[in-house]
Amino acid sequence: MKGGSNHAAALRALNAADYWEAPTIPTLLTRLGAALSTAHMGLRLYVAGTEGFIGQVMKVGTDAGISFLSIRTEHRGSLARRVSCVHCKGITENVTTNPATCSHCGLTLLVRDHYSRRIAAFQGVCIDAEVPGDVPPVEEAFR
Amino acid sequence: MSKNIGMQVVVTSVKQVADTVKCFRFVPVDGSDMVLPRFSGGSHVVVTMKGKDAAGNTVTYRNPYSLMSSPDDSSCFEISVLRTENSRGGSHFMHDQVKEGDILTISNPVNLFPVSAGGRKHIFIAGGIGITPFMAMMDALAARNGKFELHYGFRSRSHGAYWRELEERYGHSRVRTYCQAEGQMIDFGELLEHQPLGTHLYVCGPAPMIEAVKKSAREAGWPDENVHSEEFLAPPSGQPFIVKLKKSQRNIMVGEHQSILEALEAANVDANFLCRGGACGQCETAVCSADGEIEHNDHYLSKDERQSGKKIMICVSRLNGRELVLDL
Ligand SMILES: Cc1cc2nc3c(=O)[nH]c(=O)nc-3n(C[C@H](O)[C@H](O)[C@H](O)COP(=O)(O)OP(=O)(O)OC[C@H]3O[C@@H](n4cnc5c(N)ncnc54)[C@H](O)[C@@H]3O)c2cc1C
Ligand code: FES
Repeated sequence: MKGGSNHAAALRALNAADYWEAPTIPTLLTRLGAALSTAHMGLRLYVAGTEGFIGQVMKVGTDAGISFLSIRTEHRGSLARRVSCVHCKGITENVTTNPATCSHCGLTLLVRDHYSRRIAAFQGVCIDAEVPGDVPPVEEAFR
Repeated sequence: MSKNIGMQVVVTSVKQVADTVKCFRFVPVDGSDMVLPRFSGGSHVVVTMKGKDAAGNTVTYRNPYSLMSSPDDSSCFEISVLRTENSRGGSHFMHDQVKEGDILTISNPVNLFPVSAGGRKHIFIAGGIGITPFMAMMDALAARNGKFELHYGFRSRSHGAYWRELEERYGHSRVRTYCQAEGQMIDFGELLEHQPLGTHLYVCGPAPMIEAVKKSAREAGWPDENVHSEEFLAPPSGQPFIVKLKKSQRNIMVGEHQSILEALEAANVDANFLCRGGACGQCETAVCSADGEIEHNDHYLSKDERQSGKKIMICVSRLNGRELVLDL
């Protein structure tokens, strides 16, 4: 990823079969998916990054037929979650608090520990469905 | 489990399908309202057999056999049995005694060798009688347009079972046969090259073949999650020894050609099992003490567990020594 740090020169010097600096995570994921679609057994996937990043790369890998058990991951940086709203299905990125607000439908969501590999996100459920407005204080939960 | 031995079936056909292989078809007993349970490709059943040992005594054998009929056909089960040399009796009983109309007792199907659900493509490698589980797997995959290929090695054209049928049914692009007598060998390294991501590999055959395939896969960078194997492990013979049951305070002799599990069953001790081949873990038994060396023959216990000497898989492992005390 561009930006973050100045490892680019050192990484490029390693002469990997393919080295690419993606402008955004979505373009990185698209290009990874294309590369995996023509790849052969023997290729192994290693991911390092934030919680949400690892999840999204794992999804591209498993969609390409890789068993999630054989993907090696190392967590680095933020534990912020990708949250999927069970009501509108919208995904909210970089959620650090609990409860959190759905960036699509605006509901206040309780972020559960339930994780879906299929959509690479944690589940968010409306917290004040019974008594609208009855919401516990917002706390920073995932840093 | 030990309770899992009680389904009675009628043998409706016995066919010689190769030099030393016979195929048996089972259906529910006439007039019973039993339906055969569904199974998935790779399952086996445990067949109970009553044979005679060398001294003429009646002995009970229970051997696992893979189901090779179509999992989509719930009207019958089929197994194919190789008549092994050095048999204590099981496969010889099937070949020499069992005929059409006989009633046999079999267990419910158990699958320790399933097709991986998420696999994009499946490569089956069979050696000899190891073809049986793949017959059911390929049938189910073909019905669902699953992608697969079979590489099947056997000693000679007359020894190998079903190769002609399989070639005809699935075509040479999916079925490759390798006849040892004609100098053909499977090149594992070559066949693992250029396989698409998401391919799963399955091997069933003699132990050296399984080891060679696993080694080639590891060298080609395949993750263990994509490599599956089943060995038709039979309880090896050895010196006789005594098993002491701590809780029930009994001493039971394990004979030269008996497994601990068989000796317990012969003495009417109820013990758990599923596969009788050292793979499923059901028969794991705690060892209190051993006067001698435990010979671990299973594929289930880890290295550490073996070294601890605290556990034994009684379906295939035994003692080289005098006395084994079990927590039973
Ligand atoms: C999950 C599973 C699935 C199986 N599926 C099939 C199948 O589909 N078809 C099939 O034919 N088999 C299958 N088997 C193997 C089968 O269960 C039996 O082990 C096999 O039929 C031999 O049984 P047996 O009673 O004739 O021989 P056993 O007496 O049990 O002997 C088995 C082998 O042990 C060795 N042996 C025994 N006694 C001696 C001795 N005194 N000296 C030297 N060697 C000795 C021999 O090599 C012999 O071949 C399967 C096994 C497992 C675990
Ligand atoms: S019965 Fe399966 S390991 Fe012994």
